[in-house]
Amino acid sequence: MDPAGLYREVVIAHNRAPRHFGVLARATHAGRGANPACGDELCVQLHVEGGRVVDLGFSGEGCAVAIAAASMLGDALGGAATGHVGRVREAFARLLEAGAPDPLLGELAALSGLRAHPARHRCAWLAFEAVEDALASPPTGAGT
Amino acid sequence: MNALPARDLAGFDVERVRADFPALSRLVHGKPLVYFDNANTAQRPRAVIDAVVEYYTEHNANVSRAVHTLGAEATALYEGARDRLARWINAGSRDEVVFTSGTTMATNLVAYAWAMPRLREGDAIVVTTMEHHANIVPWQLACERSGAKLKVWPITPEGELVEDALDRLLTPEVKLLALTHVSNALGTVNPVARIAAQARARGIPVLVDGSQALPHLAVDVQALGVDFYCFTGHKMFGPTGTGALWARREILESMPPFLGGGEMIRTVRFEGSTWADPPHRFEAGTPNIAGFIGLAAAVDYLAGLGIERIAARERDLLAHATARFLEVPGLRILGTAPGKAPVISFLVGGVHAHDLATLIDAEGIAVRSGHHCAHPLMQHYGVAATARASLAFYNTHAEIDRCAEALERARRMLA
Repeated sequence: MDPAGLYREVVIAHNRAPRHFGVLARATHAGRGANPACGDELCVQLHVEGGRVVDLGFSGEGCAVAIAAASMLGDALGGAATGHVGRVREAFARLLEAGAPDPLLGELAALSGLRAHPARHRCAWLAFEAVEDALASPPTGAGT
Repeated sequence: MNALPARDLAGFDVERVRADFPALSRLVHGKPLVYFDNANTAQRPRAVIDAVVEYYTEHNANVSRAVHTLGAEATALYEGARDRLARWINAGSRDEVVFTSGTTMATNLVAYAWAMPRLREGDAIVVTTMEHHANIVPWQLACERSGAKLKVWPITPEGELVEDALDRLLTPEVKLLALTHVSNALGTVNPVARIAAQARARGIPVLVDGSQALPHLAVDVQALGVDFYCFTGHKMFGPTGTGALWARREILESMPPFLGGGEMIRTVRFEGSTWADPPHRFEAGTPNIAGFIGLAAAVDYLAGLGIERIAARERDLLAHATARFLEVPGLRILGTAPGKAPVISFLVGGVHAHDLATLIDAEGIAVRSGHHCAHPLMQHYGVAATARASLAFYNTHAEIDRCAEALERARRMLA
């Protein structure tokens, strides 16, 4: 019953046991993403050091798509330069528009089934929105 | 006894009724459509679609302006729709029915033309926890402008109004009680007549959002004893962009215009204009003529089926759906008031409502997922979103069984 390959095994696995979920002991940035259409909200904490995301932690509530996307985005960003977020975002946008997978995306490419579900795109963008909100916000000062 | 009687106990020939609704015969993802999103918008019977098409093909002209034949025909059909609707809700007079684009326009009309000129700082408006945003936000806007406050009438865990709280809420500064007749998210049918009597005893006007009541119940605005009754056409099988505000004549006469323009004037001079009498005072601009002609056809259709037979059939559907849905492990229903409308808001443990809705859509089944334009109600229950199956008389036990089975498959896949 999987509609157009949206709920692939890897997506379900990330939803069942999401990675990077939890509260960081040391965070430099915090942000949130909210979807007014469904009430879902994801918060993210980042620990940025030397211009790199050394750690990140999501919390909040979301559908399988939102949770899996956050988990996969966490994998894609771990250890990366903060500027990498924008490149992943662009690659993900190309995936949703044209179905073109980019190696930058890692397992996020498994969400290509979203192409058939425009009403659910927002669910996947929630995690991106939270990370970008965190990077745009003044540092929380807990890190270095 | 046959396994599938052609007529059920309510004397309903379901297959014949279903054949009246063209959309019900289409396939979605290769499967027959199961349409359980009726509280969002209902499907239209052929009679409504035909009435709209006939207006555009035979009588298309503007109303209340042209003296030519088509103009007279269009006006007769449009004003005839007002007569039909007035009789259907037992309005005291056809002039008490103001056509609007829907309930939202009706509540806003009351907020701007009745409430705002009256509200003073320190006044209050009472709403309930179970309101749709269309019966919350206009009052918030009115409060912001006037310095009045919003007071909230709480509900029980089952989704019923806490009746003994009303006495405490209806204090002298309350200038309006605004509540829904039937909750869109829970299905609860509120005892409006009893509530209105309590408010009236204290001289407090009552506004009712009847959007979800008209598709299921016989509504008699005079017997309810309310002051304003707002409803929408597309949930009662009529076209979108139709609805009405009913209010007693003396109330409408006391209200200044809300929107200015054509149709709503008596005389226009640059030094100052005078206004038409209600209801036209509140119908500026060319209305949704085809829509209201279609809405009258929807009322005729409902009358033909019989609202009591509709209610009896829906009770049976609700009982079957409740029992079948509860067989899904971990499924919890929000809103369990006795005698509720055929609306089932539910959560399945470990599965988000959007995922449920997407997965069962792949099997041709349409339910709504989200907050149902009732954020405060969702906050009350501590949930972000629910899935909602809202039924209509044309739904069947077989469709309910298909939905319950699809929900169980979705649960097994994701939970």
